[in-house]
Amino acid sequence: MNNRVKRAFKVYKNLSIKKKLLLILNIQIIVPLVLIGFMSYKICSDIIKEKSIEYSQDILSMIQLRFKDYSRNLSVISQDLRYDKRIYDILIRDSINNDPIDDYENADTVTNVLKKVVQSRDEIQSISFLSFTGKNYYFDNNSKKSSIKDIAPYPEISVRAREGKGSVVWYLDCVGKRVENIYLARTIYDQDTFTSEIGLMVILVKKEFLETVYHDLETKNLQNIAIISGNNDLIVSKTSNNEYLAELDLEGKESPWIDKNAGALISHVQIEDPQWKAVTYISLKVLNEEINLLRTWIILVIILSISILSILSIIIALDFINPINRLVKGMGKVQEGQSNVHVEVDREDELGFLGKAFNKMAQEIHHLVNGIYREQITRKEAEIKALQSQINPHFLFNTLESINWMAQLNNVPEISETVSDLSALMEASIGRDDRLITLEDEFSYADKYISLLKRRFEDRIELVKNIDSQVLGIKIPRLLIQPLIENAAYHGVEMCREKGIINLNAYIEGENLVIEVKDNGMGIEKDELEQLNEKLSMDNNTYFKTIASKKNKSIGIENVNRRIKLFYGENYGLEIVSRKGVCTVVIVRIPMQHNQTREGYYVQGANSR
Amino acid sequence: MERRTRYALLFICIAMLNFTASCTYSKDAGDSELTQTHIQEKKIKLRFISSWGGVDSKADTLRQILDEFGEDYTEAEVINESMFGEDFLPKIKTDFASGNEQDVFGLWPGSDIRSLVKAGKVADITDLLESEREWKGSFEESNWSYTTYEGRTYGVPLEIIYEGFFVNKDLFEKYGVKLPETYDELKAAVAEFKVHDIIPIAYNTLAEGTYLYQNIIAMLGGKEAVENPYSRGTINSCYIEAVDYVKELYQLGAFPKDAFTMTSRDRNNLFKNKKAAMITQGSWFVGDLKDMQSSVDIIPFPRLEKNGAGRDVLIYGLGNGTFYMSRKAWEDPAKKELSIKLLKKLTSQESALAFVNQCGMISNVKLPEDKMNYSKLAMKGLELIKSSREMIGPPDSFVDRTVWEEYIAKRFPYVLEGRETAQTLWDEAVKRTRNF
Repeated sequence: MNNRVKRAFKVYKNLSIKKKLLLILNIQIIVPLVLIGFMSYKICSDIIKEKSIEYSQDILSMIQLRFKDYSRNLSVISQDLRYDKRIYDILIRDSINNDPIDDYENADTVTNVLKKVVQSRDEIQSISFLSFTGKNYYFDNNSKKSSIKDIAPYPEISVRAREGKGSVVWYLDCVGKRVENIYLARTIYDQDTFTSEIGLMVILVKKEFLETVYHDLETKNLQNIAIISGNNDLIVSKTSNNEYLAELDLEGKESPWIDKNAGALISHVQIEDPQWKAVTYISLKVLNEEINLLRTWIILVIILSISILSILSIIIALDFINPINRLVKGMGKVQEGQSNVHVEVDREDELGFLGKAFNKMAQEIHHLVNGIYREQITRKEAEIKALQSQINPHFLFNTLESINWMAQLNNVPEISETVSDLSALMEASIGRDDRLITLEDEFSYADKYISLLKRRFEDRIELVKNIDSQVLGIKIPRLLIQPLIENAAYHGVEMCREKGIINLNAYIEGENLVIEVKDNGMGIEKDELEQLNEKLSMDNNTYFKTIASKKNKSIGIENVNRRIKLFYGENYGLEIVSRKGVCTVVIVRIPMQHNQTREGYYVQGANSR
Repeated sequence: MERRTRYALLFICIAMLNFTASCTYSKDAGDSELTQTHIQEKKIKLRFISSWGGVDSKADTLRQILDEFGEDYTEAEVINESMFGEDFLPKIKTDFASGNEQDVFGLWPGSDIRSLVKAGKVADITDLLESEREWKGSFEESNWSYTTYEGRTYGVPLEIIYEGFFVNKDLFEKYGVKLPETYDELKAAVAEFKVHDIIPIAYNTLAEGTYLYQNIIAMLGGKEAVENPYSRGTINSCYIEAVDYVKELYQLGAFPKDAFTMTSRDRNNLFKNKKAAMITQGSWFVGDLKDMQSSVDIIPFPRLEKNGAGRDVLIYGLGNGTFYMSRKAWEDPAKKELSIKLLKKLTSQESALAFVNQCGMISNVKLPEDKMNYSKLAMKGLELIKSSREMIGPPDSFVDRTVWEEYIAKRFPYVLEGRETAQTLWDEAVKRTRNF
């Protein structure tokens, strides 16, 4: 169990944030909605059921009361008739050989009494008095076609009435399980002997009136009310389930109860007198109709809510997940080695901040990789070149110092000067001091270099400087100009027989510092010049890719150009202008102002050797 | 975005709450609907009474027509208070006397309706009929006189009645008894049937039983003497002499043993159940004999020795199906129109056809021959009407009907038993009669 939880937790942990978010949001939506829906359905359906049951019980209680009233009324009527002196006298004086006029008068008297009762009491259909000689005095409410005289089973009623010993008994005349006629009967005894029967009173109860006892209580749900006798005979009912009701075993059943076979909720109540039962029968289908409607509504509401909330949650989740995914993708790219990565940021919240921070970081990495790292590589390459050509600068240095000393001792000042110049130049190229140097210093190296060359070429070489004094204080990386002078001397003087004049111009053009090194050498072929310039204008990436595959020839100019591009950016660098047989100008273009932090990196990078 | 989403979420939550609330609300509404089911619409209640209630042959058809009316005019609820037999007249008279009058009612012509008209209890529909020529024209012109008093018309006559002499033809054939054409033959038939334990004449001493007596009066007196029963404060002799004929038949044992206590239902049943051979009954009795068309016949009443009015006399007139509207309903704006509609419905051709075809009623509404479906017995009755030379109104409608029903009919046992003479009976009856 514990393991399973752990495993589930692990699975959860390993899920993507998108899945996690959707899972959580959906759980948060579905669980409460389903719970609320289920609870409200449960509670409402319970309430509806309870109300229906309560209502049916209330109605049954009302029916019970009304029946009590109804039964009492009938008893009172029969008792009133029992008290009627005229009827009693006629019954007690009854004889077989009677005068027709007496009969007529007796019948008239009794009929008049009965007529008054029958016509004034809605619950009574007919009343009949049977004398012990068999004379039947009766009166029928004429709404029915049959007469009590013809339909009442007098012998059975009489037997049953005797059980009542003079009080009221009910007699139900059944056809099958259905009660056809309801009689209220009592034996009339002689008031002197108390034992000899003088007649039988039979009241035929109007069945329709029984229905009026409950018919105004019926509702849409409660239309099946039935009155059942003690023997389960159906007295009145409006249901079509007559057989079902007649066969119901109500014994020991606590009202209300559900008959699952019949699919009905059955409530019943015992009526005290007569010993009848009022039964209500509510079809569960009808009862559940409302509950089902409620359920459908709740399900619909839940589905609707879940759909709306799910769409919302997806929108919300995507809103969070998309920037995260972009970040993750960006990070992946960085991980793969791409340094120039930028993620789209369209927001100002925490995620926006993360994105921006990432972009900034990627930019820094990009800068570090391209600016510092490559520049160092380039410098290293230059240094290696230097080392290749100068077996051991310190050794050379010391040797040059010895030569200087020897020249001074032997009083050869030319040698001493030459060696001093060379030594200064070497110091510059090997220089331990890696700080940016001023243009003035850089130009002094150029002077020293020319002075050295002059020993060799004598007057065949001349450096003409035309320098704006404003630029002298500008700091630039070391040995940026000297290699160009070297290049100009090589191409302009060494390869020519004429006098080589090298012009060094430095001036400010807008925001830029421009330094031109011009020689009057043989110039460069047009095609070659184009190739050269194209190479010079290459961005760093392309350049480093090409040098990886090709052997590089002109280290000096390339080196300067690359260092400028790495240090100042792709927009700066060298440009060569040449006219074949006339001149070649190498133009350096660098910005006047430059970010000081770059200097810091540069210095550090150089120091970390 | 985030804020907007939050608002949207809030909005949806509220919307859903509302939705759920409205669902629960509609449930509540359903509950209250449930409890309201027994609050019924208020309908205009029209009370109607006629003698076509209980076991009367026209009761079912009447009920059906009133139901149709209730369906046609849902705003109305007709309460049918019709009562059969002797209960009808006391009921309607008591109701009218106690200001509890019915809105529309059926009542046969005679002293009672005259009194009601005189008392201003009945609506005068003369102008209504004049404005509805088509309706008025649908009735036999001659019979308007029965419902017109001093030039004003009050009632709409639907039903024509006669009092006929019904015989169980099969019993006559079975016992070889000749159908009586004369009083002597009648007495012979009585003797014959008594031998075979068949009650010769289904008779009782209630109002309907007196049709035998009424026929004898008509035979003896003729139209003039019957329809003007009183001359110089005494009853015409035919009314007294007729009693002797009934008494003679009683002494011959022509009537059931318990004739004095028998109900009208039982009396009719004696004839219908072939326990009695003859009965004098109203034409409406035809409706009760639907399945006895060939075993029953209606014949002219046997000729008496002193046959003053000649042979072919028939008691003929309007029946209880003569409909009126109470003045009270006429003056009640809520009830007037509906009552008129009910009156029209009851006396419409469709209703008349229903009564004709279902109950064998003789219609005072002119009906297309092809639509009428008279039974054999009803046709027999129509023939009787055609062949009769003298139509006499029912004697009980010329004598005060209440006196007739409540006194004359009820005292008949005493007369038949010889405890009282016909003369003393009538002397007292005349005393009790106030409407000469």
